[in-house]
Formats: sequence, structure tokens, C-alpha cells
Amino acid sequence: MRSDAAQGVAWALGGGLIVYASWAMDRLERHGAALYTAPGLVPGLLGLVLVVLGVALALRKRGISACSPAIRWGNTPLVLALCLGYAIGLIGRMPFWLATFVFVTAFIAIFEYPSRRRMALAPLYGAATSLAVSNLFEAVFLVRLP
Amino acid sequence: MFEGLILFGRSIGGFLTAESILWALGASLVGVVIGALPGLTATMGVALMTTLTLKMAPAQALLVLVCTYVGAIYGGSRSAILLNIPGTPASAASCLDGYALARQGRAGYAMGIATTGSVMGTLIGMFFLALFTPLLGNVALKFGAYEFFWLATFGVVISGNLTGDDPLKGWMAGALGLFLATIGQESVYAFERFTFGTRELAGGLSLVPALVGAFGFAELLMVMRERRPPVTLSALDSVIPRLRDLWKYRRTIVRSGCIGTFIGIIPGVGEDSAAWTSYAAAKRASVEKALFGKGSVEGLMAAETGDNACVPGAIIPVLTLQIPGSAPAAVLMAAMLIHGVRPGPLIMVESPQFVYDVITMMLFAVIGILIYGLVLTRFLVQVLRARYQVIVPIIFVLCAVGSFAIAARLFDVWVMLAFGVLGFALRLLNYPMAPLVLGLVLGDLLEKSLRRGLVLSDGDVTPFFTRPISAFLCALLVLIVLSRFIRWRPRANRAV
Repeated sequence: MRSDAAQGVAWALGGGLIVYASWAMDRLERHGAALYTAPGLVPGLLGLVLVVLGVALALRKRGISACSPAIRWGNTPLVLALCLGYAIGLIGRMPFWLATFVFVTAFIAIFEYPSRRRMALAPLYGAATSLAVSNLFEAVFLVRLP
Repeated sequence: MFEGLILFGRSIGGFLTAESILWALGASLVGVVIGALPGLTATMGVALMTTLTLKMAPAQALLVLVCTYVGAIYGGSRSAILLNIPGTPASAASCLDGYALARQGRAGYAMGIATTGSVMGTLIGMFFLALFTPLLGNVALKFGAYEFFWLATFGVVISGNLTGDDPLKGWMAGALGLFLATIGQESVYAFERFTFGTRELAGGLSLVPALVGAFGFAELLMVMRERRPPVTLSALDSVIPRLRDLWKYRRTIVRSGCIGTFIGIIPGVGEDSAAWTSYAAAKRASVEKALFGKGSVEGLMAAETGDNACVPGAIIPVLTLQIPGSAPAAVLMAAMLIHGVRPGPLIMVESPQFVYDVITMMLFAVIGILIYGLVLTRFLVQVLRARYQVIVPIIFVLCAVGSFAIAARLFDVWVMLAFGVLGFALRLLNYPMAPLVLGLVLGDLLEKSLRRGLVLSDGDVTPFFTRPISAFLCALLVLIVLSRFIRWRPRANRAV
């Protein structure tokens, strides 16, 4: 998926799907809609643009970046798991202040490992963030938090 | 002329309250801190602050957003000078001479020059904002659906052309943004498109959560990708700017201010192009060409003046055409719409006061960055030592709760997450984000203009190509696209 050619094919296929879905979309002719007012007109044209650009990307010759260097993921999977876990798994299933405390504390503790002194500060940051954000949104902005 | 001055005076009078001043100073500081932290951009700052200011009165909320925007563009120079890492893409040009000056033991002096340049750039941009907005507003009154269609297309194409290393990928990101804007009910028959039966998608993708995801969450994922080495900072000398520098480089300041503003006016281009173009123009005209890249005060002054002058410049088309000049301006425009402000060709007819309100907001931001630039230097240097392990989860909580707060529904949090992952993936594959944002923001205008134009001409497409302004914009677009296909070379110096 990293080379321009593979990306171009993916874009062209995605664009093709959009064109197909737009063409198959109800044209509302029974409501007297002309072809140029059909709901699928603009997305269809944009799908076509993506197909053309995808083909251009797949076919072009660009020495140095035709194949990008390997992507370094680093901490990404862990960060992504923590953030998604908080936003999908915790928010809405427990009080907001608790979810935020758990998330911030866990995040800092994991990424500050192995510094015990900094890990020990994680619950403090968690509590402060949870208290500040909850109060700010509920008391000042009058938002009912999940 | 006098009417403008009266309106400006009235705006200043309106904002001269303790509350407004505190909001302005606080927001400028938040902007400077966000801008100073590498990886966090002005667009992210404005998007995040949009969610935090939803419940505020429109004037105060927009004051906060404008101050954040100006502060963030200025704040990027801190890390550019001290760490050789641009805090925001707009400050990339400042690394060349700013860091060289810091290595010569003149980091404080370089920051003083950056402050001077940023303040002067914003002031010049404000002058042009006051001058050009009424003029452009009058011209915009002649625009119809056909012209707006081309303007929206132009914004996305030019943004794709100039904001990344690869125009083809920029255009693809722009087209994707335009497509994503079509999700939900269309405007003529309220027909649901690409909603897959999801009730929450019927109204379309919420713009602010999408922007918070594409810039906030995606940027957090980028900055956490690698552990950064401990920050080593240069010693500081005096940060007080010298008047003789201001006088010595007056031509550079005026030239860079004009270039920055005019690049800002071009839809979708943005601050980084303004900084690079100003820098290149200063180098061409300088008698000290050899010093550029080795610690040229003039080079740093040009880059900082250019990028900050671009901010008011980018707001001119927002106010007059409802077309943003840069990615942060696109978010600002979305915030204006949320707060019930309707920018566009009629703004000088319906609410001319608002134009001068924006100028006053910028004036407050300038005062803010001047104070922080001179007084809080050591604090701002310490900000660069901030640990991302602590900042990132806190910002993510704000991204999530801010997205939720807009309509009190969890679906918007999921939109934020989806756009965060999408934005992260696109960044990894070297797709620029600015065209995606422009596409999302301009998609509605593009579709409405195209369909309205076709209805007006009963399906005939010739008015899109034969009306004078439409024909000009169309020809310009074709030229821009063709020029890329004919001479297709990556630009090597855009280390953004």
C-alpha cells in the first residue's frame, strides 16, 4: 500500500465505487428532477475525478518517491488503542470523570515507564484533568457530559 | 474612509472591557503555546478552541479564536529558533536563519526579531484587511453561482497545488474532502446520500468534530509516533527588539507584509507559502544574500513578517467570498457559521461593523504576542520542555469532550476518531491536510453553486465557461493544472 501505484489503484477503485453508487442512486425523475439536478450528480463527478487522479498516480513515473520509505509506527498502535479505548470503551459506560481519570492516568503511567517518580505523578495528572475538564464543561459551558 | 474609522473606533470601544481583554490575552497565550509545541498546528488550535467556545457569546468566541490563530502562527517561531523544529508549518522558513542565529549565541535577539516581524506583519495585514474587504466585497456582489463554483474549485485545487510536496496527492485529498462534504441530505430534495441508513449521518458530517479529528487527534498520533530526545536549549541574550533593526529592514518588512497578505488572499494557500515566498523575495532583493541560511536577520524578519501578514490576508476572502485563504481560516469560517455570523459578499451591506470587529480582534492579538514575546520569553522557552506523554492525553480528552459538546451526542466523538485515523493515515502517506479541510468546508458551496447554475441555465454548461469572471477563473485553473503536468518535479526545500 505504500507505493504510488498501489495507492493509485486504491483511489481509483474507491472513486469507481463512488461513481457506481452515485449512478445507482435514485434520480428522482418521478418528482420531475432533471438529470442535472439528480442527487448523485456531484458525488458522481467527484468519484470520476478520484478515478482519473488515481489512475494518474498509479501510472506516473517518479523516481525518488515512487516507493516511499518504510513507515515507522513507533508508539502509534499503543496510543491508538488507548485513545480508542477511552473514546469508545469508557466514555458513556461509566461517569465521565472516572473515565477521564482512568485514561489520563493509564496513558501517562504507560509512557513514563520506567521512571517511577514520573509514573507516581500520573494519578495526580489524571485527577487534575478529570476535575478541571468535568467542571469546565458542566459548570461553565453547561454541557451534560456522557 | 471616515466611516471605516468610526466603525473601527466603535469596535475598539466595544471590546475595551476587562472580560474581552482577559479572553484576548488568555487566547493569545494558548495560541502561542500550541504554536510553540512542535507537531501542534494553528489549525488544530483553532479547531480545539472552537469546541471550547461554543457556549460563549459570538463576539467573545471569535475574539478567542482570532487571538489563538494569530498567537499560534507567531508561537511557531519559538521552537524554530531554539530547536530548529518549526512549531507550525508556517515557521519552517524561520528555522533557516533563526536557528543559525541561536547557534551563534543570539537566540534572544532572534526571538526579538521574530516578535517584531510578526507584529509588523499582522499590522500590515490588518491595514490591507481594512482596505480590501470593502473593495473585494463590492466585486463579490457581481459573483453568481457560476463564479462561486469556480472559486470553490480554485480554492481546493490551488491548496492541493501548493500545500504539500506533491500536487497530485493534494488534489486527491481535496477531492476526498469535497466528496465527504456530500454525505447526508442534499439541499434540493433532502435526499440522503451515503448515509447507509444511519440517522446521525442524515444531517451530514459535523464539520467541527471532523476538523478536530483531522488536525487534533491525527496530530497527537503523529507526535506520539516517536519518543523525542530531551530538549537542549541555547542560552538567551536580550529579546528586546532594536528600533534600528526596524528601520534598517523597513523595506523587507513592507515587502514581506504585502506578499504575505496577498498570498493569504489567494484561496487555500496559507501561511507556509507566505513565509517561503517572503523569504525568497527578501533574499533576491538583499545586499546580504550570502548571509541567508547562515543567520540572516533580514531572512528571519522576512519569514516571520510574511507568515503573520498572511493571517489577516486569509481572512479577507472568508469575509467577502466565504472562501477561506488557509486551513486555519477554514476552521475560523466554520466557527463563524456556528456562531450565526454569515460572511460573504453581503457582509459590507448587512454587517460592516463585523469586519472592523475582526480587525480589532487582531489588534488585541498583536498586543498579546508583543507582551508575551517580550515578557514571557523564559516561560515560553520552558514550554518547549513540556512532556508530550503528559500533554497528549489531556489534549485528547479535550478533543473528545469538545466534539461531544457541540450537539451532546457520542456520534460526533466517533466522527472525530474516524477523521483522526483517516488524517493520520493520509499524513503517513504524504497527503497534505489543508486541501482535505478546504474540500470539507467548500463542498457545500461548490455543490450548491454547480446545481444552482445548472438550474438557472436549464442544464446548459456554457455560462460556466463564457461569463468573464468564470472564464478567467476556469482558464487560471487549467493553466495551474497543466503547468504541474508539464513540469512535474517535487520541491525539495519544503521541510514541513
